[in-house]
Amino acid sequence: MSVTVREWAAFGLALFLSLVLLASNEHRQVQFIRATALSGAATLNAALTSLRSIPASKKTIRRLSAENARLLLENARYREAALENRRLRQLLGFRRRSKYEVIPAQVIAKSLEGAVRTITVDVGALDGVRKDDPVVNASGLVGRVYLVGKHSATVHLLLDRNFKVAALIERTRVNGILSWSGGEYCLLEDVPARADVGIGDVIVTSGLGGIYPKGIRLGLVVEISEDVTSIFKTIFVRPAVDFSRLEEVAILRRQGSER
Amino acid sequence: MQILPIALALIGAAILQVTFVDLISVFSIEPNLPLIVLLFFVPRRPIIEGLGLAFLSGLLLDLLAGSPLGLSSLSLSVAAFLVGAVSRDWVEVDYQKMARLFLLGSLAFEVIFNGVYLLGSELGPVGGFLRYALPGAVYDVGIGMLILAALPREWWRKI
Repeated sequence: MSVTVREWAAFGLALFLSLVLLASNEHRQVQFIRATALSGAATLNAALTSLRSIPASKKTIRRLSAENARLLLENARYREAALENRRLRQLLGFRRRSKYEVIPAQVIAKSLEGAVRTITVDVGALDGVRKDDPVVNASGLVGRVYLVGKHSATVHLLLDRNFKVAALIERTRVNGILSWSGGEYCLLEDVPARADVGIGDVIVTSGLGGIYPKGIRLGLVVEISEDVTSIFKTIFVRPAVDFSRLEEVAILRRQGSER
Repeated sequence: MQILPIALALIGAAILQVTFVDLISVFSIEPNLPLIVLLFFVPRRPIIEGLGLAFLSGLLLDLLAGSPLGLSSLSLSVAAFLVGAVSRDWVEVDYQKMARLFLLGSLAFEVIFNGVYLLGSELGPVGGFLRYALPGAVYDVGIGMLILAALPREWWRKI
């Protein structure tokens, strides 16, 4: 194994260029190049991804029909609750909450390489998608838009180390910060040791921070660990979304927002 | 072997990686097709060419997959350099030698890729190695050897 000086130099150059690129990921020009490349690849990815969905489409139609019926019933119940809520808000003089526009999207690429967890969707800037828009599906919060091309966008999933969200224990209204635990669970942090929390409690977004609407389901508490020396509990949360089966998602965009 | 077919194979592998490979993920671990293709061709090309291919296919993979730009090119460059250096005097390979090359390259790639990405995370270097790098490398070697077994031996025996 004898490596020439020229080969060492080429190796050094490759490492240097890679590190420079890694260090400039948030640079505007690099983001622009990534967004342009993303748009270019989106058409091809969409065509290939549609191939894999053909055999599953009949099954999907049946599942969606059943889901549709269930949602119609649920919708009727919510409509009643919304009417009641409006009346009560008027009584209390609350300001009308800001509304979100829903942009439906199809997953056209996934990356689960090692610890990197991202998906690419088939909607982008021309459809109204902006960086940091929340991404959801019927089960709950999927992630947040990270990079936006013209017709596609890359989404950081909840199970990615770059993801953090202000959360709330639905039953007891205790606040915390939810982030990735390093495995298949999330970690709810900053919850006081004396807080009331139990296995099976539902965790939702708290709306604090202004990026995510309040009340989107994040997951269920599966494990609570208490350290007598700590003033906080460590709570493990199983995400509500099954990330291995993501096909359709919705991007939420605050109406009138121009980030 | 001409460089163009290798480049096309790498581009094809990168596209397949982001569109179909999640179908064969096990416990959220995916094999890395561009890495496997690269590790197959690197011993057959001069080290500098292998490095160039690794760097460019890494950039393509980062652009398609949404991982930080430069992360795959860094990891693939190290893997290609190591495998190229180890195999540079070889004239012939068998299953055992190819398994060793796949293991060396995959471990180098997975350790650097996950190590850099998880830098400063709660998981720590040992946790990252056990949870992602080692299973990822084992899966890469397994898939690499399966592909090799499916190809006629005369195609890949001589370097």
